[in-house]
Amino acid sequence: MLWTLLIAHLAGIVVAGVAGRRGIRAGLAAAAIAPAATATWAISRLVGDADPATAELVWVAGLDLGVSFRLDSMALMMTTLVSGIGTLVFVYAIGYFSAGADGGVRFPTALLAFSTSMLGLVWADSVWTLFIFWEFTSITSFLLVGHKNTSADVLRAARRALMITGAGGLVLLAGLLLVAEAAGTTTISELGPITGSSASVAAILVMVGAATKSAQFPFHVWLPGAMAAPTPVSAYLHSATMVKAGVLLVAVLSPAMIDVDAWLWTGLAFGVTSMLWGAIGALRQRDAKLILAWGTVSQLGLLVTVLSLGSGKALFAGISLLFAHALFKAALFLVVGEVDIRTGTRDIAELGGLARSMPIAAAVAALAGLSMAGVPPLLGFMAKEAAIEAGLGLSGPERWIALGAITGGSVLTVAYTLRFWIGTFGPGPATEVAPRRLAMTAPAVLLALAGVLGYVFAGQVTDIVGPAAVEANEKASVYELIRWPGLKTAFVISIGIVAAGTALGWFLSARPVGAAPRTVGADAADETIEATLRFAPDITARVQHGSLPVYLATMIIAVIAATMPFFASAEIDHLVLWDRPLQAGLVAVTIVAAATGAVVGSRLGATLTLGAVGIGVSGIFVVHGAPDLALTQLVVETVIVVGFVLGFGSLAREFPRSSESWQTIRLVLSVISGIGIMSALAFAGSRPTGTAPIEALTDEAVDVGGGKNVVNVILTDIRALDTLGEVVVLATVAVGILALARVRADEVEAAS
Amino acid sequence: MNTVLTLMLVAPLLSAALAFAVRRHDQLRDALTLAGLGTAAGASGVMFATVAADGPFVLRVGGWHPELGIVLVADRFAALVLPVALAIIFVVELFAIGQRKTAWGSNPELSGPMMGVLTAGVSLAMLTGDLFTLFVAFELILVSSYVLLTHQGQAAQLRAGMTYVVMNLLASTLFLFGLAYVYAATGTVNLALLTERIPELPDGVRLGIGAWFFVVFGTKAAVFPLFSWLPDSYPTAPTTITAVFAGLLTKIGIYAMIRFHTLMGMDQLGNTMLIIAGVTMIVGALGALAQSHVKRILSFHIISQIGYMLMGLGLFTAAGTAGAILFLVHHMPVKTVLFLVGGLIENDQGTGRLDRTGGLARRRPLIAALFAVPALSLAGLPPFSGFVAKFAVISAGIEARATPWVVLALVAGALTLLSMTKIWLGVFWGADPDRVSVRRPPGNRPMMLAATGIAVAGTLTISALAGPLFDLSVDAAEDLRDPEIYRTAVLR
Repeated sequence: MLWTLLIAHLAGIVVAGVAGRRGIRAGLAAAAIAPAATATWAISRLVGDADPATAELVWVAGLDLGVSFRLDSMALMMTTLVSGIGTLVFVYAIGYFSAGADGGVRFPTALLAFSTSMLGLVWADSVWTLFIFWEFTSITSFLLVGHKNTSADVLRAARRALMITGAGGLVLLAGLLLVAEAAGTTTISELGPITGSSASVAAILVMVGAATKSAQFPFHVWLPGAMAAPTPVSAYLHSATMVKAGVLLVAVLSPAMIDVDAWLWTGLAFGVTSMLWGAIGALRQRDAKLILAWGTVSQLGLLVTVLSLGSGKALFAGISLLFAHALFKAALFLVVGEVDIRTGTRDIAELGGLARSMPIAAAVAALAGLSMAGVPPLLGFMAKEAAIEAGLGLSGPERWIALGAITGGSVLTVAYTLRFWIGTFGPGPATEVAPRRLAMTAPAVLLALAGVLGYVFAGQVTDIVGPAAVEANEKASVYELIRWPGLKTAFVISIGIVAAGTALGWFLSARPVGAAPRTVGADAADETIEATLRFAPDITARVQHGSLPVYLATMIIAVIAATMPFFASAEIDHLVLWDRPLQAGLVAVTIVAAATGAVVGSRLGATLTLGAVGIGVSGIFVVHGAPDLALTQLVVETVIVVGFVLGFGSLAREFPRSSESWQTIRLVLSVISGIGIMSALAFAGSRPTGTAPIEALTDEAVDVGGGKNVVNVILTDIRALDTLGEVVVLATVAVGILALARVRADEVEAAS
Repeated sequence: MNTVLTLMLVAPLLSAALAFAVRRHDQLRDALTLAGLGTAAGASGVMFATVAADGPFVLRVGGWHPELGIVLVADRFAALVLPVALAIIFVVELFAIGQRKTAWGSNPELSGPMMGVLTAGVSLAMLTGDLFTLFVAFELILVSSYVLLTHQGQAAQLRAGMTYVVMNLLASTLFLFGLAYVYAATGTVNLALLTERIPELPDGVRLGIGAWFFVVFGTKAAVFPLFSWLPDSYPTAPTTITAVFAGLLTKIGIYAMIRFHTLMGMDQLGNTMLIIAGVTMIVGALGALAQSHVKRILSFHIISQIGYMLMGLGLFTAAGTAGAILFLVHHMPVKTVLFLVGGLIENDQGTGRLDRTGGLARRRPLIAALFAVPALSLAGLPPFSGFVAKFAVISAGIEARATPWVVLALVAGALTLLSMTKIWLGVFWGADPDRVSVRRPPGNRPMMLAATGIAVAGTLTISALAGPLFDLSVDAAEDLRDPEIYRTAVLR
């Protein structure tokens, strides 16, 4: 069935692309089919009690890469959220976009591609499957954030989001590799507690990866920027589902990390700072959508805090919060989008009085907001109660850190929720509104009602989130969502939170709306990227400066380094200075000629000394009894000298002068490399492990090759392939010269 | 099988000669070129199948004993890599024929024949079991690529060609010195015999030879700091030529390194190689970020990616070598395709400069899609082959506890992603450029798009078949890490 659903989604992408050519609404309608089917199926499974569906496709067996799905309780709950909210978002988008909107093909296809990737992520039962789909969601998110990609701000925001989540993905990759190695398995449902030296490193790396995706401080800076995307995207990816991927990862890996202290503390560090900083950020914004976005950072911080605690109670609370948050946050975003479309602004300083003109939206926002603030009779209340209970159940320093953070963060949450609602719908001059679009209103209403129903049917919700939590920690099985706890400590704290938050929110709403805060964090992230882009040319200019002599000097230095090992095997007893004194004379002549060539200033002089070097070498060949080789060498040298002289043409007689220090460097390099290369050859033969098959060659040349001249047989038979190659080389060079000469001739002709 | 191996050398050479003879007859020449390149590619496919079924095959050229003559060795390494290389050349030639007679195209009268010579050089370099013949193969590749690079005679090409040819000729000279060292120390240049004789050499000589050939092959492979010839020269050549260079040339260097240094058991050079690999990855990626022209960005990425392959090799573990080989197989087509798309962009926009392009995804979604696949692959994102290749190398690194290099590889990965984003934002998104070229783009667009499409499909196939390809890479790595296998095949 999982395959069927996946294929249905892939087919849906194609169909949406085709339908999208007729307009974005047709595309969206077509795209909604697959998520709707999936959601229906998932809900039917929620009610029933089936074994987890599994599916597997091996991709790279040798590396354990592949697609391995397992629809356990957690996955089923997430599927319901992903596809359920997805369906609503597609419907909503039909109302959100005008009929003639741009991007009819790319928006629906990208959004459905995201939805598909998200399903793969939540179904994953192998860390690599999870990782693969994790990366898909980053890419599809990038495409969706950049939907309106003609503005520079949008491009920056898209780049920021991609780079932070992309780099986080690489960190996660390293972390998961360590986890897989330590646990001895890549199957998530089989992960046992990991220990050992690499466990802490793995925990930190995985947590950092999760933090980038789930917008934890200081990586949260991409999330407000991602609000550049159309609101359906913000509601779906950047509040309800994709940003939950990191949280989900924390939950599913918690069985492996139960004994790793670094996991708890890294998680708390991210979670607590994000919860508080996000809430403060939400209080400072004036764009209603950004208030919600910062609120998401805060809520994700709460989730990471609670889930990283790792206890059964904490897992239960965390999963309940996750479920509740997806519902109320999506509803709030949908309302903001509707406000945006119908009034043309999202600025709470300009908005007001919408409670009268948009009563349904106001009611939806109120229900969802109350759920977010943790007020009964709503799902969010029960989840937050569970979170406080989880904090109370701890011991040690983490008890006070967690409790303090949850309480403080929740107070701020109540405050910014109130400020959001009052700023948008509260008293004020009535803003003019466009007519309602049913497609936008209905999904928001459903999501808000889900929060109420979740409270009413607390037992059924417990049956959904409970088993999911049990999969992460068996001890979670004893907990349930409680509609009315009575005057217990947690409830007292809850009352205090709501009271304090309301007072703070009221106080802040009464004050005039300040200017939007500067985007310090996002700017810093952009600046890091820009600095990298600026740093790159500096470094590059140093290594790729364009000076051929320096490149060659670099090569020579490498050569000198490569000759060094030979000296370790230096054995000089077997060396003789010369067989015959004549050799010494020839070598001396050659060296003198070479040295002269190196210092002489004129091109002609250099050419002639080079020729002299060649003649010296042919002399050495003669002494060694190879007159034919010497003759060949002489001919080559002559041709080269003549060629050079002819080629000088209009060139200046002298070489361009170079600085004295550069000349010194070159001289030093030449001498050292010369000595190195020569010594290396001398030492290379010091203890040969084989000798040239000279006798075999001479025998075979005559017997098999049928020639008395061994060299000829070698060239034309034994190593004929080499000769063929070199002949082709020569022909190729000739063709190349001809081509260049032709170009030159054409130029001259064109000039005249 | 003798015929098969021979065809891979002779067919492209023969077609080069014939095509050159009839170079003024467009269709005949192109048909001959395609026939030659196609035959070679087809033969390599047969070789792959045969070697997979029957194991390594050795051809003693002229029937001479390996002690004296030359052998061609189709082991599992060559049989895996060579077909990919030859298929690439064939597809690029299709693109080139579609692009001829455009300002961006090469001169088909020369490029076809030269491509034949290059192909023969590539086949020879990968098949030869003889160090001297490898030198000859390098020469064939060098001269034909130099002619391809400069044959249009533009000033920029000649200038860049100078750096290219001088550095590479110096490397060839060093190769000859290296042959002298090897011959003096062992009395042979046959690789199979060398696998016996080099490990027995005194440590200094053995490592000296290893280091020496690291410099030689390193220059060919464009590792830090020997890569300078590459980034200046590649972008100046016509697209199709750069595409082939990008896909193949440096890879011959790394191929030779994987073969030589693994067969000769140069494990002790591992740390040096890893250091160089790390710097190469980072410097190459930074170099790419520094550029503002599509082809220049892509050129620097070649260097960075060579670093990954070198890292796999430098680990000197079975997993590392296999990772390096898989990376090689992945990288050749992906890099080629990216340059072909770069050619499509230039063809369409009149330029590849990021500041003069924009919004292409809206106007030409097909080109955007053709770019996105290999770009994501290059950046190492799933489900593309680049992900598997990078994954293989990095997990080998973690297994070998080579933490610093794993970190550098990941950093380079992030930088690569950033530079691909730079191209995407500059070319495909953003506002339309001031002067949108409304004119019909020149050249045979359907043919160019088709060739690029085939190539993209090829990279997708490699992604889909990453599993079997990884197994084959492991097999190839096993053959290289156990020289007994190679020796037995050649000397029996």
